Formats: sequence, structure tokens, C-alpha cells
Amino acid sequence: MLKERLGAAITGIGLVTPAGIGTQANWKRVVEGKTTAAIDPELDKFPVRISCRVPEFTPENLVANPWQWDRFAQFALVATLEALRDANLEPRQWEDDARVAVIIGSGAGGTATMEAQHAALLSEGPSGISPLTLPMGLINMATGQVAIEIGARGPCLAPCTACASGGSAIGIARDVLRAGLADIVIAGGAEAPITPLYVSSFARMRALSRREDPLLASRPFDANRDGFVLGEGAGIFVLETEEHARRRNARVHAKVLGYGTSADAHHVTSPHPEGRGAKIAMRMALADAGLNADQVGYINAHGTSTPANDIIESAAIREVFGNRVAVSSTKGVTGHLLGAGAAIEAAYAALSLEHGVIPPTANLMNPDPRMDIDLVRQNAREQRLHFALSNSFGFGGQNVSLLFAA
Amino acid sequence: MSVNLDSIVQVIATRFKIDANRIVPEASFDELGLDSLSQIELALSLKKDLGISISDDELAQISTVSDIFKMVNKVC
Repeated sequence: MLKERLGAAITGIGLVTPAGIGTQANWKRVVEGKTTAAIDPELDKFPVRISCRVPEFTPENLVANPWQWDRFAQFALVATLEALRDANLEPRQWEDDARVAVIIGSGAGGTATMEAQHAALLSEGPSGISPLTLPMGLINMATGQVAIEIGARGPCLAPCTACASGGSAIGIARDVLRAGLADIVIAGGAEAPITPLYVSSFARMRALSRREDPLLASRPFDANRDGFVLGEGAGIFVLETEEHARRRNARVHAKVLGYGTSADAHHVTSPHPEGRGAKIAMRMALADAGLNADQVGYINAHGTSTPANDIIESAAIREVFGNRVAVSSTKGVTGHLLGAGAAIEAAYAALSLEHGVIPPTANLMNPDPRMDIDLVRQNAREQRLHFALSNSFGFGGQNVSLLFAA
Repeated sequence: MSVNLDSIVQVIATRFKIDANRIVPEASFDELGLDSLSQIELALSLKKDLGISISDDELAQISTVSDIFKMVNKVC
């Protein structure tokens, strides 16, 4: 029984997000609770002009042959290389390359590439499009290109559960390790969705904040929230079996102990009004980890800043955990990175455990009075933590809850 | 129509972000890191930027920068 409950050790973290490139820059920014949303000059002609961009991302200096990589895959590679450095592992220098897996989720894949090439098809005809359209555009190419670049020949998957994709990747990675299919997994999510088609599509659904002031746009759980702000980036873990990590004396940030995943089976975009799928995922993660709800000290919520998600998620958390667990959403700082969001938030949850610090929810000034949960806002909270949960819910009604142990 | 070598070099350097000094006439596509898909991409760029048409069959026959130059200036 004990063996079955062994977690996956997080021995490396790589983050490329609007909060910065690198774990240090990210952690500083989310603990400060300073939003990254800004007016985006590239969205001049669009109904919503606010986004959260990765600052100072210069792929020419970070990726060999950047023209072969869509932006989402560039993010994935840079985050992977950082996570490997953090884990003290050298790409291509594996003890056994068949035992190294790559599992990177994405919701939108290389949509910028697909959109540009579709425009070329319409204007120049079939011979006018690039032969790199599919190698750059496919959703599984962050995983595929990273595996090529680092020489990993084990299981290679790209889960797609929309905004839960990175969470699915980490959960599946834990299961791959538990099943004995690999010793090391590069796991996480990558997304580059600030494109004409994605911005317009989300705007048409009225999912994005229309606020004038970008600094106040992403405000999870606030009474005046009016939608999310689109972000971009990647979050990558190096996960290892605890035995493998111990054998090479690796430093362990935290462990992935529980994985819950479910469907709302209700509506393509609206969450189930009673949060049925969300509650199933959270309870499944607890049961998987063998924990009681009162043992969890912090929940990094999905907390998108949309009217529907935040009220339903807070009620679901209240029902499963009561109102003593600390809750915050780091999307107030980073915006919503879709499939990468689940992965970067998993990293923030792991860092909370490591540092004993709970990041606040940026811009949460007037908590929605209908929410009876302990929302961390304004300042980070120092608190010794043993277990933390991270929620991610995707379109299609696909839910993931991950439980981390210190 | 004739196209000089410099303009071919410029197209390659810009499209693939390769230092122009590396793109000597005898450099092979392999040496420049251009795989088979990238060579098709190169043909597309040459067409868009310089109006040079290289068919897939012709592309299969050439392997260096100077091959492009020779082919274009013989054909035209």
C-alpha cells in the first residue's frame, strides 16, 4: 500500500511566464502580488487589447534554429533546459535514454503558425505555405521537439485538456513513474495563445476582461471581476521516482502525491453549477494521496477571474475543505496561460511548500461576499505547509486537481 | 533575368538567421543545418523574395549555395 502511494519527486523547476524567465524571478513576482497585465501593441485592432506577455523573451539567444519552433515550443524548450539545470541533469547525457519521458500538455499548440499559414493559403494558394506548417503547428510538437533536443527516448505524450493540459501532463507523468515506465519525466505545459484567432474567439465568448486599466483587469475572486487576461509561457518539472532521486542525491523541491481528474459532463464552457466535476477531482486527489481534507494548508485555485468560475470553484472548495484552508489565485499576477497555467501554478504550489509562503491574489480588493473561503490577498502569508493542492479546469468540462507534499 | 550570389546569400541569412559569412558558395545545405523541409522552405523564400522558381525535382538535384546560383543563372 505504502509503495503504491509513493509520490513523484520534483527535482527541477523551469518557468517562462509573464512573471519572468526563471524560478527566482517568478517567485519574487507572485509573492509581491504585482500584476503583469499590460496594453499589448500587437492587439491594437482587437476588441480586447490587454495581455500578459513573457518579458524580454529573445528566442534567438535561447534556442538553436528558432525559426523551426513555434513560440509555444520555444517556451517549452527554454523552461525544460532551466528545469534540467535546476535538477543538475545534463541533456543527452542520460544513464538510459529509454527511461526518460517527455509529457508536455498544450491547449492551443502552434496556433500562431497555423493562423499565419492559413492566411498564406488564402492569399497565395497551396504552394505558398511553408513546409514547416505542421512540424511547428501540431499540439504535440512541444513534446516532440523537446524530446529530440534533449535526446529523451522514453514515453512521449502531449495531453490536451484545454486549460487543464499542463495538470494532466503532471498527473500522467506521476502515473508513468508509478507504473515503472520511466525513471525521469519532463512534465508540464506550454502555450502561446496571444494570437488574432484566440484573442478574437475568447473575446466573442465574452470570457476576457474588458476593463480599461490593465493593472486592475485580472482580479480573481473580486466582486468586480469581469473576465480573464490571456497570458503565455511554459512551466516544466523534472519528476523522478523518489528512489531515483535519492540514488543520485538530488535536491527535492516537493512531491506530487495525489492526482484527481474528472469531467463535468455538463456544458462545453460553463462549469457545472454545483461544481460537481471540480469536487470529484479534488476528492479524488485527496483519496489518491491518502489524506484528509483538513491536512491541506493551501489551495492554488484555478481562479480565472471570470464571474462563473470563481463563484463555483469557491463553493466547491468550501464544500470539500471547509473554510480554514488558505486559498489564492496567482492568475492575478500572470493572467491565464491556458494549458500552461496548470503547470506554472503547480510550480507555485510546490514553491509555497518549499518556502512556507502563500502568494496573495493580486487585485483582490473587494472579495465577492458570496465566497465563504479564506482568500489570501494583499500580502503573502507565511505559514508552514505540509500539503498543497492546485486546481485546473478546462473547456469541455475537464478538471484536474494535483496534490503536493513538502 | 540574372540573380547575383549576394542576394541568394541574403535570403538564406535572413530566413534562417544564419551568419552571412558562413554562407559561402560551396557550403552544403547540410552544413548550414537545412534539412529536407528547410530546403523546401528555402525555395519558398527564394520565390517570394527574388521571384526565383525552383521545382521540387530541381530542388532534389542541388545541394549547395552555388548550385542555386548556377541553376538560376543557367535557366534564366
